[in-house]
Amino acid sequence: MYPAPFRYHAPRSLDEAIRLLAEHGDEAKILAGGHSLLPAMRLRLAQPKVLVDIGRVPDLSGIRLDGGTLVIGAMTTHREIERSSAVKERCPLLAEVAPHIGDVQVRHRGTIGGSLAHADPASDWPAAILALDAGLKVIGPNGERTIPARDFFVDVLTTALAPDEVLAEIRIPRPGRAGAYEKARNRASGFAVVGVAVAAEQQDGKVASIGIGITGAAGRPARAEAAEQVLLGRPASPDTLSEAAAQAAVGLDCTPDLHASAEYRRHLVQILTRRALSRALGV
Amino acid sequence: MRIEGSYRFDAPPERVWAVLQDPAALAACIPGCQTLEPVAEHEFAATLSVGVAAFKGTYNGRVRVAELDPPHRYDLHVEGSGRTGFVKGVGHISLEPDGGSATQVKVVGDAQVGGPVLSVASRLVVPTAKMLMNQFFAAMQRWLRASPM
Repeated sequence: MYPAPFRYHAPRSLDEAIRLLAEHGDEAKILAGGHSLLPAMRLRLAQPKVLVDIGRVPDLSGIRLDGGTLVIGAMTTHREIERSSAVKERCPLLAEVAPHIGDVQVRHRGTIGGSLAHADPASDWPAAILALDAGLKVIGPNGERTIPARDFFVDVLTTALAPDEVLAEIRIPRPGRAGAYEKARNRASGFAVVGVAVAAEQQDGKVASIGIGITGAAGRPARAEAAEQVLLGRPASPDTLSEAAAQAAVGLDCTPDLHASAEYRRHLVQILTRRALSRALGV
Repeated sequence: MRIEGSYRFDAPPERVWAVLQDPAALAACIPGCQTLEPVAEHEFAATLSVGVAAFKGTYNGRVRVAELDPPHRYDLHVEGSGRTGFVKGVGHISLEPDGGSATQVKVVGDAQVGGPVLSVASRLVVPTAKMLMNQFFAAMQRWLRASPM
């Protein structure tokens, strides 16, 4: 189907983009890679009156190090992250998650910022972003602020971004931690039935830091805090890992749908957490 | 699709019941409700403009209340359709006293959803329905707190 009519703007600066968003309010949508928004527009599930294409705004894409922080521009494509040697070296978890997204054509156009701002409850990046304690730098008419990943995802397709704010950067603190991503993939859509990302660090034979991010299981991605608490400060062993994985679905309001029952999703969360922990911690 | 929820109200079941049956409260609290007109006893025609993020649509439908057992339980039959799809289902709603002056409202619903929305967004349907239900009951809780005894 053709999309409903809309006006198209391609601002050349972030200021101009923000001004357009402020001017059009609810009627405007940001166009990043377009691989979620455009299919929805063609089915007329979404009918924004105004598209603000940020593809020509300078400095929104690229991967760099800022002191101890790995910084990924919001317009960086999934494929760029997948192929980046800096990411492989500094943040193996992100390099591992990227190839799980869609197919190679989607990864060449789709962007990490677009995916995060869209907040599909079954997308892959949120699990990693949560596990890594990333900060999301957003810029609006009143300047910039950094939203911690755990405050960013509010509900289905709903984030802490204001309508006139643009997600500019994903900032990963403490790069270099070990990571692993385990996913039960929906065979038709490629989205996660459940996905579990783990970022971890060990010191003196004990788990010094651990982040477990879960996507696909519920209406919004979440940290498995109960499971993290089991491991923090204790040695990683088959027993402690199993004990932690058993707590991974605590507090999750798992979604039942035609692909998986709530009980099955809860089960997957535990199994995939166990596998991801095992690889990330080398046990 | 099956959907469940449980909501606590700081009021006894009689008051919660009265609010849940009050057309003015319903019209104010149903997310995106534009019109809610009675068409028969215990039956309403509704127009909703509802959605999440860019996914918005207008839906026309009917709501019928049945099996009323005040102030304990009732069934809510819902039917609606719009450009993006249709929904038809029933919710079983029960009110249980929780201590002396509070009520637990439990919802167990079963619905069929179909149409274009399923081809791209089947994974979004249940979480979105749940979000809208949460918004409805949160609005009802605010309505009850704001309305005089």
